Amino acid sequence: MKKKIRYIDLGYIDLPKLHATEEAVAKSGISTLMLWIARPAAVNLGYFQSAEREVDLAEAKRLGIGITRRPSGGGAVLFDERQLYYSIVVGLDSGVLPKAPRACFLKAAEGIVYALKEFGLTSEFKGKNDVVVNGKKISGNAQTSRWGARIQHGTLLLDFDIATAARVLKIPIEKVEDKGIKARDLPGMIEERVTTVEKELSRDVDVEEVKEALKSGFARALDVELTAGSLTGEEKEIRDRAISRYKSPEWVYRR
Amino acid sequence: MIILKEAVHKAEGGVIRVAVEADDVIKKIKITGDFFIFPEDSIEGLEKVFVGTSTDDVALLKVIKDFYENIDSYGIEPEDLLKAIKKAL
Repeated sequence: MKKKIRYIDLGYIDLPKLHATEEAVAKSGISTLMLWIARPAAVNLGYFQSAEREVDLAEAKRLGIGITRRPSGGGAVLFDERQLYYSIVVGLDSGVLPKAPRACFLKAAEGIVYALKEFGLTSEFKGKNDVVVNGKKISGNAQTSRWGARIQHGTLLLDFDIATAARVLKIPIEKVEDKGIKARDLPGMIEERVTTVEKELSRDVDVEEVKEALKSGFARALDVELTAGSLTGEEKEIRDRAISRYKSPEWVYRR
Repeated sequence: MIILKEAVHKAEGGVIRVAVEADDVIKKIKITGDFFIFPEDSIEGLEKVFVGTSTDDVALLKVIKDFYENIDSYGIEPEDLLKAIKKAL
């Protein structure tokens, strides 16, 4: 008999509320898969990143792009409505996700690979935490273990606002050999390394279709049955108390 | 004289940026980047332990190895942290 885990569609959600929700679910111990879409657009920094080194803070302000920080490591990404995001929050000892970091990344990637296959796309895990199609990143992933839980979360690029990303994210000089890279080269650089579902399919995709594919992909990879549910009253209370912390400068600009 | 110096080292598990103020010993250090270390807040503890540490390899590596006794990392080895700090110094 398969393990049943809760599925929640969080819809459009701002990042501080999303991270507060992840925290609440981690604390409640109810194994859950959540799908969500970031709104409004914001930069999401990895826990260890320096805000001012990774983001052009003045440009982000000019564009009305907020700055947020997640509890997990990894790199800075522009989160917007053109991507679909997942958060798997399960007890560390629940056995739903492997405990070892790499095995956990591989397990989540398996779900994404299955989902992309439903659209006829062949993808694979690459590097430390990416899923790629034809060598280009289509999904970025991160994980943390807190409050007795594992939070494994990430993005799936349906479309990508390269222009805005190039404006707010600082040139990752150390990722390229040629030190002559100029600001105007950044969109091209991004385009060489990143792809999207719509680009690969040469057509628009309906996000609801992708949600269904991700649900069945993760259910298959994790070998679980998903039961649609919602946050408990207690989880909502924990979430609501945590939101201001994720919005605070002490959190966002901690490094 | 205390000078703030910065350097970047690309490890398999991500980019490590170090900003450091030091003379014979480290006065202040900030280690940032896009890597994964568990638990995450151990990094702040590491930065504190480095303060007052002599800037020779032996001393630095000892602090790093002690740190690794209590953490899990993903593609960031002790040698990567040492390289990043030495690059900055």
